[in-house]
Amino acid sequence: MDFRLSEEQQLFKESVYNFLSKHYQTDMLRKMLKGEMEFPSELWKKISELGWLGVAIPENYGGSGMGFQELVILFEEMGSACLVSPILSTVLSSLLILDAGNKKQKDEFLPKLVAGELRFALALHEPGFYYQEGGIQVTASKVQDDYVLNGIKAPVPDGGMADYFICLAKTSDKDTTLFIVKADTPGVTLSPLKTIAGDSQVEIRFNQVAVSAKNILGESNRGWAFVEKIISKAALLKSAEMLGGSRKTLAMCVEYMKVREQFGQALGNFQAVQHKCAEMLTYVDLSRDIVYKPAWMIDRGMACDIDIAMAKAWTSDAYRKVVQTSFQLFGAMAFCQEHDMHLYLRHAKASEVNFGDSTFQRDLIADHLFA
Amino acid sequence: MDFSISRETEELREEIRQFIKDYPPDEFPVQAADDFWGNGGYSYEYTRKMGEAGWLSLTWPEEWGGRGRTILDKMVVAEELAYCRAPHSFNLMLDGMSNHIITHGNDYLRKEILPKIAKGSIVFWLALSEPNAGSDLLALQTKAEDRGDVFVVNGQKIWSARAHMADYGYLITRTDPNVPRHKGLSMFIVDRKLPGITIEPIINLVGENYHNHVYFDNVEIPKEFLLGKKNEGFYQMLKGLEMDRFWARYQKPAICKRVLDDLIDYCKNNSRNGKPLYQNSVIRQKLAQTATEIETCRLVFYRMAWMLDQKVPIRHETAMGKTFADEMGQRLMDLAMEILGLDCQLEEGSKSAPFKGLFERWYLISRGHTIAGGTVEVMKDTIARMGLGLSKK
Ligand SMILES: Cc1cc2nc3c(=O)[nH]c(=O)nc-3n(C[C@H](O)[C@H](O)[C@H](O)COP(=O)(O)OP(=O)(O)OC[C@H]3O[C@@H](n4cnc5c(N)ncnc54)[C@H](O)[C@@H]3O)c2cc1C
Ligand SMILES: Cc1cc2nc3c(=O)[nH]c(=O)nc-3n(C[C@H](O)[C@H](O)[C@H](O)COP(=O)(O)OP(=O)(O)OC[C@H]3O[C@@H](n4cnc5c(N)ncnc54)[C@H](O)[C@@H]3O)c2cc1C
Repeated sequence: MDFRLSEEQQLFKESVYNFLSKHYQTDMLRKMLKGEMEFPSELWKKISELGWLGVAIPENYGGSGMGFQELVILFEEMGSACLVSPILSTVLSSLLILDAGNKKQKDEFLPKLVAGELRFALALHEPGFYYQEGGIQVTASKVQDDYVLNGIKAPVPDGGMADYFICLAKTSDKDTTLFIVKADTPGVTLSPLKTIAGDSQVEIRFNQVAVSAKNILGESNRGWAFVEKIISKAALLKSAEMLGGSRKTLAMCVEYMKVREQFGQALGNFQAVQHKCAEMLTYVDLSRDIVYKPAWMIDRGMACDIDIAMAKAWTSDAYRKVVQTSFQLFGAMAFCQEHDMHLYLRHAKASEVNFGDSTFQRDLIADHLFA
Repeated sequence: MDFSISRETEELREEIRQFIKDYPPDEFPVQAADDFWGNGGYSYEYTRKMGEAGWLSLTWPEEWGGRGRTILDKMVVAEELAYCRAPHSFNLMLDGMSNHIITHGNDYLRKEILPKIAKGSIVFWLALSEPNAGSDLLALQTKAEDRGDVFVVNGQKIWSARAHMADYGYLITRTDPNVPRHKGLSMFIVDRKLPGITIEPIINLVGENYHNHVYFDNVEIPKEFLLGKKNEGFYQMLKGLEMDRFWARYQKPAICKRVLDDLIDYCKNNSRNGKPLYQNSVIRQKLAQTATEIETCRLVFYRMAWMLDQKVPIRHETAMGKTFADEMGQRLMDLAMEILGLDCQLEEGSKSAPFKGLFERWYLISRGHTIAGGTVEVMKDTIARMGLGLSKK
């Protein structure tokens, strides 16, 4: 056993940290929240040049061919910086195409996705859907050899900037299929949504949208098998973000507890404060191992769905508790727009509900226990 | 024991229900949004209507223009208003303030201020906290110098909620720097328009001007506006705290009940992956727990109202009630977000935002409730001391 990052991994982690410290400030997020700014294209360009979009994509598609552990390192640092960006949508779309796509699709899309030249968004969610196939209502009806899409997908992260959507739709009573849909196809209408974390999401309406059978991703009626896998990976990357976010939140709080004085002494001297900080450290510290182990398993080709469910359940609860406690310990200061604590509070809530909250994950774990 | 509500009180409940029917809250403009305290948004117009109908002075002695009703009566009235989310401004800012003026004010202040409160034509803000005096309020440094006819005030207050909308401040200052901290404090009612007062907005986490910095630069407050006795401000405040904590949170159980009912409705009408939410056993358990907490909380506030009416000394009860109410509200918002699932992320202004994004806003805003008016940590110290006789080291 070895609980350390390798030297290369450590260097990668530091490079991500250094880059974000230099090029990303939470003030940008404050502007995105107010709707005054979109994710800056110069930053997107720099991020693609660094190769972050292709960390776990093979070199023959322009990726850097590293593993899932490196991806988790990247997302941990992104969470720590409270970076809200279209990176996750891009990474997930690439992984999905890599897994489900045919040669033509991979050749056509992957190099451009990795280079940041093409944007994809996953159109999975819809009203009443919570990460189970049974919740899908959007239909794709077969008309001769092709399909016609109808229904509403929402919320769709990063849908507003996407060139393509990967849309999951019902193709029979029980089954679903994935379609690659060009964003400017007639019959597609977008409405922007304002969200708690300031990320860009939209509602998509499909009204008689014609899609060629050539644009099926994977096989027809086999969409869910691919989606299930990508949701699980997404849950792990969200967990990594939450690990980073909770670690940073705790660090900010402890720093403040050392300098803020009341009753003639630093707040950190009070046992009631110390015990809260100790509980937070426990949440954060334990988050690290439970997040990195499944990443290590993925890299070794081991099955780890339940390990990921545990990681997502744990970090969702941990981040929420850590950020709520830290918020409390900052006092009224945390209540200000200028302060970063509410950005983390927002990020924690969005991360918690996306790709299955802890109750959902515990259901998966229980299913496994009684299998 | 008797848990029944008297006929007179029930009649009052009918009266306020009629008032709400006659003046539907939705039809009134609000100048500040509803922050989940239970007293709705802030509406000058609705407050004036309440004043005209005599609701604002309900519990005052008749000699000061009130109806001499009990605090329990007021609690029942407030419950009805809170449940409808009427922008009714009952709370610390009016109930607490009028109580302080009736108890400690001189006749000039009572004559000058009470009728305005009763009419609903003025609002207060609380000028207590300072940058270095938060939980440790006694560290406050804003000073007031006695010059005979006037007190001259210099200093700085922070977190003055809605000071920019208020007419008068409830101000605590140091009048004697040469005695132990708690002995040299005095209270004032201060007219916001006095020369030398500068108000600077602090934008809150949802982008609204809620708090303010308030700077006092040689502000001359006429001596009649000293509230109570000079240098006894701290003792007066301590005495008032029991009441203040009650007034600050007594609408919380009712607004939580409203949220619970809204969530129950939502669960009846929405499903997840094809299964109705009300059949989800985790959600059922949590809703049932919430219902239990709300009933518990409501009873402890009724008990407090009864104690205040009967002049039974309060020990830890109001600190406990406030803490419980605030934490209950936060748990309820956690649950609301869980029930709304992915849609919980949607803010006001998004097409499909459930409850128009209200719970998303309250999830964020309610994090301040366990900080405002004395933090949970400070309250727990009080509960241990007053309720259990454990001394502070
Ligand atoms: C199953 C079991 C096996 C044990 N085996 C052994 C053994 O093999 N050898 C041996 O020598 N002893 C043993 N002990 C004794 C054990 O080490 C003591 O019980 C322990 O150190 C606590 O001491 P105490 O019982 O005197 O409680 P106290 O020290 O009196 O503490 C009482 C309570 O106050 C709390 N408390 C104390 N100080 C603080 C503080 N500063 N801040 C906040 N809370 C505080 C404690 O956490 C505890 O809850 C055993 C005890 C148990 C229960
Ligand atoms: C929504 C809101 C409305 C407000 N409205 C007003 C208003 O109208 N007028 C006004 O004057 N003020 C107002 N305040 C300010 C409020 O009274 C203070 O924020 C509060 O008293 C705490 O002070 P602080 O923010 O300086 O935190 P600090 O006192 O710096 O405390 C920071 C953290 O440390 C904890 N802590 C402090 N001391 C101890 C201890 N001994 N043991 C354990 N933990 C401790 C606190 O509980 C808190 O979690 C408001 C605040 C909020 C959030």
